Amino acid sequence: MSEGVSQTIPLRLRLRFLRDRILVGLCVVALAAAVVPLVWVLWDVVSVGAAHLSVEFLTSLPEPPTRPGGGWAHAFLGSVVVVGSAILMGIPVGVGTGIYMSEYGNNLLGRSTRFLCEVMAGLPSIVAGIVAYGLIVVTMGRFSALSGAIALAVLFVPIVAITTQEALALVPRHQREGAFALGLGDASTTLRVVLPAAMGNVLTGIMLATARVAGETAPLLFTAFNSRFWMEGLDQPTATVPVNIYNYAISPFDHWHDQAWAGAFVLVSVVLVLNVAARTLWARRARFMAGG
Amino acid sequence: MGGSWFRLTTGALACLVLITAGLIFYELWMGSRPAWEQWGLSFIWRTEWNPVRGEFGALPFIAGTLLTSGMALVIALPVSLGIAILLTEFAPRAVRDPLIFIVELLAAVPSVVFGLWGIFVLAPVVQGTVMPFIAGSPLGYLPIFGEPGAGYTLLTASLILAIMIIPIIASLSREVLMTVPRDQREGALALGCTRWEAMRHVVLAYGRAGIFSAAVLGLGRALGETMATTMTIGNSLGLTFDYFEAGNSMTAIIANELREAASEIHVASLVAIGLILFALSFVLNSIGRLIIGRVSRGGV
Amino acid sequence: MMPERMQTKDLRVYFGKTEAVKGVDMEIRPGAVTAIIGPSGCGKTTFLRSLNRMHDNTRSARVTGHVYLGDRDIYNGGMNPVELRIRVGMVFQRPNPFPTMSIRENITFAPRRHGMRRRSDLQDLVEEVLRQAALWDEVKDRLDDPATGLSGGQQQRLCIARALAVRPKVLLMDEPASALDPTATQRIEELIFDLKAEYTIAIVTHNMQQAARVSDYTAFFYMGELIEFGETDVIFTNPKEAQTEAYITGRFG
Repeated sequence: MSEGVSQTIPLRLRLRFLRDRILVGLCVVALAAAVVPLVWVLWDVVSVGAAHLSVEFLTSLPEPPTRPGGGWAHAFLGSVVVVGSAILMGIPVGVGTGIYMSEYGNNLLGRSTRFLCEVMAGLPSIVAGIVAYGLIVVTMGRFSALSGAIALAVLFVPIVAITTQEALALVPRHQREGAFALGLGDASTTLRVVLPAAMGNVLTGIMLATARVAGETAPLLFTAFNSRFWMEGLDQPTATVPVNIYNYAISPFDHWHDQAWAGAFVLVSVVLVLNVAARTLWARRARFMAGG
Repeated sequence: MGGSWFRLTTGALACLVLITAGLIFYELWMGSRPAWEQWGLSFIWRTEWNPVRGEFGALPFIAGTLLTSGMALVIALPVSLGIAILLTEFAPRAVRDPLIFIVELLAAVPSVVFGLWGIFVLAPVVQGTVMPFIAGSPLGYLPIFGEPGAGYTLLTASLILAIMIIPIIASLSREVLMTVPRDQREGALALGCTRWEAMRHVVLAYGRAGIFSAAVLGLGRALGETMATTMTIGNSLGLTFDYFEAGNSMTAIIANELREAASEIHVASLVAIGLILFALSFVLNSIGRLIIGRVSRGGV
Repeated sequence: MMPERMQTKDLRVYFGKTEAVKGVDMEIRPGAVTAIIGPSGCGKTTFLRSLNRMHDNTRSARVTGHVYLGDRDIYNGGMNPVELRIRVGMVFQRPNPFPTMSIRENITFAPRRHGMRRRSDLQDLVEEVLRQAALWDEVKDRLDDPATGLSGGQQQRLCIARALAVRPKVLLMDEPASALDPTATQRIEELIFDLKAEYTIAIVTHNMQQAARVSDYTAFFYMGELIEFGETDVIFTNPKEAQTEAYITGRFG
């Protein structure tokens, strides 16, 4: 019986199954084509980068290129300050815009804001740099950490606005109505009931947007610019990790290339940790909501 | 009531976003005016770029951007669709979620890191393996491939861009496929179609508008990608259509020259390229978002 | 072409830990219409979908027991679901024509996959099944228009024609008229009556008048169990089980 079974399937059907298997196999190849570069990049970043990571690299200032050693301490500080300023500026605007779009957004302003946020989320990041350069660097007459932070904030806000809106939209209507029924105004309802209920997803959006701008290089090239020394203030140019990776990578010095890899290792670690943390936070919330 | 302080405050913040968008356009326009005043629209198709003589034209950079982004899309679209199909229909549940996670991580790696990897890893591979392979294969007869040379080429930049836009197109396409109603797929299965046939001829066809917009959004991302392109494209100044040669792109020329541009017309020409880039990406993103918005609201 | 008989033995369907069909033994007789009735959630649709292995692609679903098509066990007899569904077609509750295809393509789509390539054969097939589905006169001048341009009732008849084009032995219908207006419903019922000479038909319905009008046999399901099965006349005039009587006289469900 059992050996006769497969022979009852007509040849044509068997050819169709064979073709399906080949095509699904090609899909697996496609997946590999995406996963292999990722593993390859991460492998190089980890193996080369970690090999050149040292306490000196993390804590000291750069040496002239003719001398070995030195570090990127100033760039780590610079990145923290520039990205930190960007998100400090961006969070109120992004979350506020998201609240407006979610709670009052069913009008022309809401819809056009939503549309522009979506379009701006796809804005070439270098354009933010050009604008900050024209408006701030040229006006102030010098490169500055602040102009870099503003350029990053321009990229940060639309992402946070969209994720905030979507997070708030998930909060059930009856929670709002319950708060209104208790006599809370719309400010208290949103800030004390709706926003806390959506906080996990709002934070996820903020973390993902932070990870995104932390790795941005192009907007900083002609805003925060570069420096070999500790940053002296927000109105002064500063080194940042991504720009340093670029400058060191295109330099002619081998030990600078090594430092670029070490810097990339630090940057990728931070960005991936932020991503994984944000996504697991999201996943936990989603499970929580599904499980009731 | 209607005009509560809270509504006004958040509304003002939303307006700030609109103002920023307007400011971006205004700054790009004002900053590029000297270039438009000098050459008019012919700036777009002028091919000379010579800061010393003060001659500027955008065509080599527009061409380089379109060539690299176009090739990236040609490579990335089938790969992304394969991934989306696999993850929607065929991957076992146990591996599906981790795979989605990994593909999304690919999107999180910063551009400059891809650029670094492109310089030291991919470019030598392109030079030593990929270009000789293509040149030796029937593809080598295509007029877009000339003599293999150094590893910093339009092809290298295209490959990096393809890797970078695959996660975006794949995850958008996957979302599109997930929104296709179940009864479409079951309708095909009930007629004796295989799972692949149901996916390929019915589900994919149903989602074709959404897939199109995923491709458009991916293209938009590739156009605006700066660091990975700048670091691998070779940064030559002439017009070329040969993928084995060094080229340039709109983003790369800005990244390379804006901070050192001395003359007003040089800066204006770079900003003008930025404006063209902005306009292109604005149009592509608008088209993509409008279609995907319509799809997710339930239309076909 | 001979219609075939289907039979289930101790058929059970689980969704996760929930047992939705609880050990059903039932026969679907060839060349007749069998109606499956019962209150919402009684497992009638779940039962129907197990007859052409529609649960295969639902991750949480598990089917045990036996379903026979003729004398072959469709779950344990080495039969492939694709092979099965060519013989056991299905029409769904909501009309689901493929919106990106024309009326003609909706019909030829599956036969072409199954190997019918000649233009004239396909042409003949389209006319034949559209006539069988009593749709030919309404659409013969616009075969290449999108299928979504049809009315709901026409779309459902197109879906029936599409199912017939695969030349099944058995046709499963899951509340095929529940989304339609009374006129369209009547046309579907007439169509079912015309088709039973050539096909074995099982129809799930929550409309008892419809079951009484179109079917030869009726099965009453309740809480995942087959409570009563018999000739339709008998079930509706003289049911043996108290639950059946309560349901058909409208006391619950």
